[in-house]
Amino acid sequence: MPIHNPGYLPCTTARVTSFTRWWTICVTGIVRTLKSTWLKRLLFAAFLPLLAFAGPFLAFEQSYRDPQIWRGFVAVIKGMPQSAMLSASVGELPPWPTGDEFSRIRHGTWSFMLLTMLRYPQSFLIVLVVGIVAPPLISQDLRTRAYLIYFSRPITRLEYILGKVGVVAFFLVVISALPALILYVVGLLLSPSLSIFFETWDLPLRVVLASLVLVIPTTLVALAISSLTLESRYAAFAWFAIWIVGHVTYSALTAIPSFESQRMQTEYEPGWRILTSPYQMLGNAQAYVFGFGESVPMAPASFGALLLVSVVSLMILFRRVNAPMRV
Amino acid sequence: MTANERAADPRGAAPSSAQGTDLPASAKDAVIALEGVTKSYGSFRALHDITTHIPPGVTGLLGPNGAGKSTLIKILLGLLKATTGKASVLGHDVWRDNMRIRELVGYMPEDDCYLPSLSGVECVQFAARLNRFPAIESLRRAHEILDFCGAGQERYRPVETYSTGMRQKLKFAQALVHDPPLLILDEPTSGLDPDERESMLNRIKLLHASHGKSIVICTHILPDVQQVSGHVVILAAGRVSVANSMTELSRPASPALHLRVAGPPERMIAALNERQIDAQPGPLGSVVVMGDSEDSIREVWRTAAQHGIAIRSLAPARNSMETIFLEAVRGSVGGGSDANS
Repeated sequence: MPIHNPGYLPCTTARVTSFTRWWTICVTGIVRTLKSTWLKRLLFAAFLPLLAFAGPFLAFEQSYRDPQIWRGFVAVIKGMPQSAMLSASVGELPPWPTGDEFSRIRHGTWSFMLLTMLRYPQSFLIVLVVGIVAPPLISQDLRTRAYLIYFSRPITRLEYILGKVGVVAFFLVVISALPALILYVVGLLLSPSLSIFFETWDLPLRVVLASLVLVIPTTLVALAISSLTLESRYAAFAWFAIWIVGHVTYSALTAIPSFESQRMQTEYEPGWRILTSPYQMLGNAQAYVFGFGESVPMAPASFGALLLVSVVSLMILFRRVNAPMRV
Repeated sequence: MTANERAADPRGAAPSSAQGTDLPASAKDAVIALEGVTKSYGSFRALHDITTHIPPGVTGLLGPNGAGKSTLIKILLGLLKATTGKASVLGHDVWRDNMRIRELVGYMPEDDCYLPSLSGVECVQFAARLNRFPAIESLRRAHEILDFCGAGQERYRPVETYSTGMRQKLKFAQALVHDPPLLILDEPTSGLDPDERESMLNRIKLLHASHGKSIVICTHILPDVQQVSGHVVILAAGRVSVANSMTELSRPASPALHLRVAGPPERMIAALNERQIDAQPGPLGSVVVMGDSEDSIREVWRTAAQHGIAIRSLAPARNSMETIFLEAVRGSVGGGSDANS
């Protein structure tokens, strides 16, 4: 008990602007979420690919010294998935580029490495982290009736949703944009001259844009699922099911034609089948943002599908967040 | 100063007047004014043409389960729109100014509502921040209110480990943290032990008496209402059965005295009847003497003195809250005539 309890005291505190309410919901959500030990481990793991991708950046920037380093770099790049995308963008990598050739292929190569990091290790971690962070955000509020804490105060549905979106978006940015931006800075620091910034200045903007393309639909879908149930585990199950079923469907639809095209040594274009998998759709859209539009003819359709999914999720969210008040 | 002015003063903004919501002049002083409020869910009518004015002070909002109390509270907070009718809280129209109302009202829900994994003090701080308190100030205020609510070191524990009593204190603190002029408390003493219940009721009385707050208490614990409320509204089947002051409601239809004597009451009854005073056996060995005039009281004392009967207690008869409630729910209470006043 307090040493001196003056009883009830009227409050004369000057209030801050009402625009901070969504921010309060967001920060409190982040603080609550960060109490999960597993999440902290995953966030730590999200920065490990940074170390793996710093190697190719170093190799690329130092290979002008030694053709052996260049050959090693090319082998690593060829081993990366969808390396054909890089060839389509900058042409076949030369045996040992000259100074001018380095400048010509630098932008495309850096873009490809950043995209690969976002597309593969980070995307996998994003699915896991969103599967931990998003499901309880609204379903738990519905189960514990915490919505009364929010809506008996001057909080609008938009502020509530914005606050919750902010929580998921924060973790997605920490996993996707932040490591990619750090990798970009590492690339600059490892390069022979900081003037390389002027060749690659747009890449941080592309990283941010690619992260937005990823963050907006995934966050809204995850929160919409969370709002549909009182049980967080059902929401988590549905979240993972969407990715797994989408990927399995895509693989099933493309396996035979892909095999046939490999046999005939022709290029296979999955076409509309991409729209069956959220992972492929997001990858297509991100590739387009990083300037590999020629390799992803279905990018406009992917953007359209992602927009549609986002709008539908937002509508579900607005309707479901208001639902407990109607009874 | 009217309740509305009192409500507006601390924030320095004048509320829209009762006239602004097209309510009659009698609603001016009311903290809550309802005019013909009806709420329907499809074919089911939860509230049926409710017209009542709740004055400043402590008001008990009673009603059996399903009477429409929760629906009414949601309408007052602007969370639900009434199908027809007008309502104002502290002079603000509930639908047009619902955000302003939610700033001025502290609502303590009946349901257990909490944010798991936060500590008690973090929960109260969060409530303060939603009411636009700066971060550091909200923490200071949270501690201040938790001290007032009698929360000790348990305020640092995660809320999901709290007992029912502690959760009640937490909800009360969250409702009170922004110093609202009107509190709506849904079952504030539910789940509290007698000591804590007494403390909670004392806090409610203090907030009204010393800090001028208006408080609406929704509860099923009728003695609580009798203990703290100055006004009572009873809802039954979506209608206002009773809306009157506690003093009026407690007064029996015909005045009487309740008398307790040492020894068997029959002797006293016989002695009073001999003096042409209407006396009957009451509950639990008491004697009910009809009439509560000064003369009747004097006669009772004189009779007791003459027959050597010791009087243990003598008090004016009062309707119990249970009686008022049951009669209201059955639709036969006298105060019902005042419901739409």
